[in-house]
Amino acid sequence: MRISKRTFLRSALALLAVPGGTLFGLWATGETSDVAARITDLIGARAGARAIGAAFLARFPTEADQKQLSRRIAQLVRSSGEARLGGEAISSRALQRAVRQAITSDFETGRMIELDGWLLAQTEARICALLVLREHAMRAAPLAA
Amino acid sequence: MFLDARGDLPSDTRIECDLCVMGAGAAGITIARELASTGLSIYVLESGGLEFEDEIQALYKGTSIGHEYPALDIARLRFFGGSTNHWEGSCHPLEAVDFERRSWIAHSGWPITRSQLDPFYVRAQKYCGLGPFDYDAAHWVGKIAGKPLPLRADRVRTAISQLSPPVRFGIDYRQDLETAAHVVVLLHATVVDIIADPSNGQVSHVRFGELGGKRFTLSARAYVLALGGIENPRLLLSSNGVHPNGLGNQNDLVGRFFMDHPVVEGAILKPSDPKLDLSFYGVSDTQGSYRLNAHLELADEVLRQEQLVNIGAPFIPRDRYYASPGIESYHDIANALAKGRLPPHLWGDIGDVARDFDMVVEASSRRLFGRRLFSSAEELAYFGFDTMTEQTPNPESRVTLGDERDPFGMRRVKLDWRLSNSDKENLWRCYEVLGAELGRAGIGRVRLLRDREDALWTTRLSYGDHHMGTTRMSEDPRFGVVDADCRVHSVLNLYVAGSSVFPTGGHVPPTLTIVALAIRLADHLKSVFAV
Repeated sequence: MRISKRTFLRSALALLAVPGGTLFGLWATGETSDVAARITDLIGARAGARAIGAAFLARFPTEADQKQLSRRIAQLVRSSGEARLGGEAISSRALQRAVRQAITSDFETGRMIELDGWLLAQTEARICALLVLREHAMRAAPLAA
Repeated sequence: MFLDARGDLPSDTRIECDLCVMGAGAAGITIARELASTGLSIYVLESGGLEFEDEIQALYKGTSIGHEYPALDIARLRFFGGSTNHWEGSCHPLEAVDFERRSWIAHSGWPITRSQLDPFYVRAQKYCGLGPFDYDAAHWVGKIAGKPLPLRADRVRTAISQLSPPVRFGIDYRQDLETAAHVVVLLHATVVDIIADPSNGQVSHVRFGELGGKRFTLSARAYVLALGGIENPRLLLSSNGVHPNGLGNQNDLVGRFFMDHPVVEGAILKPSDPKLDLSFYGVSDTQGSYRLNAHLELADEVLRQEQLVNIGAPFIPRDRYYASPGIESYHDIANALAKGRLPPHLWGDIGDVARDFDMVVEASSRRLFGRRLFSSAEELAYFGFDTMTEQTPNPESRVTLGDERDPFGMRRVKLDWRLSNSDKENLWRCYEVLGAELGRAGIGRVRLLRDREDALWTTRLSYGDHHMGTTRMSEDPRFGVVDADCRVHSVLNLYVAGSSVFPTGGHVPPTLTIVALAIRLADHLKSVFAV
């Protein structure tokens, strides 16, 4: 999939220019025990995240499974910090910290993905993909959401 | 003393002296100046005069048959001071690893080490008008604005370059040579042949001339060839009266291994914080009394682990106008339509133009009316890595003699510059390491401009104009033209100065190393002459 020049540049600008210096610069607006919701709620710049997520899924179609992707991200985040996902114990701040740590760890260990030339941490690309899948599922079954 | 071969010498003059230096660029002037007080009688033969002259410069013309390369009479200057008359002044010593034999780079390895060259680098600093010989970023913290980025030093390090004012060797050191009692700088004196005596393995004399037709000879006890990385092999190959392959070329090495420093903006950094402070890297003008800038390069450990050659990546701020996808898409559409077809991503391109319409209008205004419209055009979009990279030695990349002749009857140069795929692949891998570390440190994200790969290595390719490798240094005559003292292996009294002796060129401009090696050669000549 080719992302338009403008969309991707804008995406990167929006994603990376948020306070805190990462994709996850904004606080979650609500607490939920749903892993996917809690993680994707951390995303501040959704338009850009959607572009990255769509590019990721186009490149790795076998990852287009919301549950599996949630599990993978949760594992990565868990192994990177003190976070316990899915329960009430973790605050958004701690979750954000854990996600950041997972991203740092990805870069440290070479778990990177190149999308349209951008070198991204696997975790951040997967979280963007999760957002796309989740929104897609919500549109498909609005009552269940 | 300065003389001019056109008016001051009768034709067929025969000169005798102790040392003949051919060429008055950074290397030739340094050697003459270092030896000026020794009492040795020295002649410096310079093809040009004190100013640029078209017909002299035209002697540099040649053909290029390899990878696209700048015209050979543009990249260098042929008058007193040589190419220091137009150099930018960026100085940095080669790294210790550059001198090593690196198992993953064929033909790498110098016969000397960085630490052996260090005392000469210290002296070269003064020649180049630089500060203390300290290129460690930590040394400069607190002395200049800003701070280095918090990167893991075993992955990516911040390296300092010192900027010469720049020193114009032909201007700054002219008086020293004018007043030196035993130095004669002979202008408009083009060496056309080096004559060897097969009976004793020495150069017996050189023949030189001026464009008016007068011809002269000079006989010396020792000779230094300091004409630059293209003319040094040209003169050796042309001097084939005794050795049909050229002087010093019994192993077919003269002219081979030609290298430059390709300069490619192949990646960009989108900072996480738009106000990222990069003043330490020379992005701001608050360097105080020092003229420095800094760049990123890979740590030695990474180079060894990943089997890479290094790059120097400075941060170049690019504004919205420069980075505009709308303008780029507009050109894509216009170029495709001009060729009678539609661009492959028409709708995406139209979308880019629509979303970036203000920049397209800005471009039209600048082009048609020469007026700037929007201040937003000057907002930072990203930082480009205008990257200077090491080119690995390749024997097929070479200088030979063409069939055309110049007004002296000398065959002009034919340059076959080769860039290998591994040179290109190396760059991408270096960017990946850079991107990983900048991502890890939370500085931002790096984008590799792979979609422009063809253009990066052709229309968008820049050059250091650093001509290296063509008379490479090695202790073994099978692998090098000169030995560790820069003496031509097969000729007892002929030396070579300049970047043509570099077996590998590193990723930094060569002038500081050229001057350091010239000082070292001058010291060696003092011992040879026992002065």
